[in-house]
Amino acid sequence: MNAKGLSEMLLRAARLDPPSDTVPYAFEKRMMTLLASPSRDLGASLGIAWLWRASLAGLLIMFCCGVWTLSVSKGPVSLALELEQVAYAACCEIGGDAW
Amino acid sequence: MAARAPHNSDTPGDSQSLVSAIHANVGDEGLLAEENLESGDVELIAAVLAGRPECFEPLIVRYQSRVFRLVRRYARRETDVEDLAQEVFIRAYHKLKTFRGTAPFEHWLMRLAVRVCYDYLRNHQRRRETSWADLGEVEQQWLERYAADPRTTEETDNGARELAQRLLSLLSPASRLVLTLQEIEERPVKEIAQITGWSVPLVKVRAFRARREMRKHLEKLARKNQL
Repeated sequence: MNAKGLSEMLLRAARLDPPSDTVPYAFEKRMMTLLASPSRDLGASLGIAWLWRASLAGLLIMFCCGVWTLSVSKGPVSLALELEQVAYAACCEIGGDAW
Repeated sequence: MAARAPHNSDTPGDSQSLVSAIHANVGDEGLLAEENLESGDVELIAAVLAGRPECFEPLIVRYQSRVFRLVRRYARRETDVEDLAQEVFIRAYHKLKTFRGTAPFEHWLMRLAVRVCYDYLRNHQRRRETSWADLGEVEQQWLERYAADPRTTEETDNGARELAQRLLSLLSPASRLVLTLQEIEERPVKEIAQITGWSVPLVKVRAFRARREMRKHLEKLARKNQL
């Protein structure tokens, strides 16, 4: 079967079959009522939009902090030392001279 | 509760300035004469933006039949059609302040409607109910007639229409959109690019892929029906 010929014929068939433009009864009245009522969906979508914005801002801050941390650290050795100091800081304060 | 206007300005002076701004934009465009704007559209839009949401109703009445006709190209169930038309007008209402008057309001609204329909196609991509497995009797008969002698087969038959709709519903959203706009509505590539927000080369690439996808589906159909 000639798929190209068939596809062209079906497209012609679709072209010759324009969709109806009938409008349901009192559609405009229902639309106006819908626009006048506070929409829960709209509120939710606005809330989601704000959450997205907040998450993007949070990611940006995290990225900036990461860049800043990497730029001020002197290398992997100092990072390990710093980590050790932070990890054992509490022990040093509690134990005092015992350590 | 009264409808909230999409713009918080409510002084008559602001409304006047909005009308002047839209008129000025029309003048700046040069290519589009002011007569192209349906008379009264600009004033109605300005009134809505100035805090009179009831002025949106005449705009709905004026364009609802065109919106319904466009939406029916992409959705077949009447409940979906009505939901989509509602979504078009809700989005239009909330985005009204982005209308600059550089093109007729109808063009702006139809662009918006096409984007709403594209979103619908993408969201319903996984829930498509059609397949070649459940071909109706009319479609099957038309297909057999076509396989026997393509020259005597009529494209105005119900079978051809049904089959065309089925084929379109099997395509990916981008393919369906680009084929509907280019092949069925016979719009030029440049206009499709404006409507969809895609670049001209992308429209051409997607149209090419859409035709290939369509042929692939038809070959599958022919194999399945041993035609």
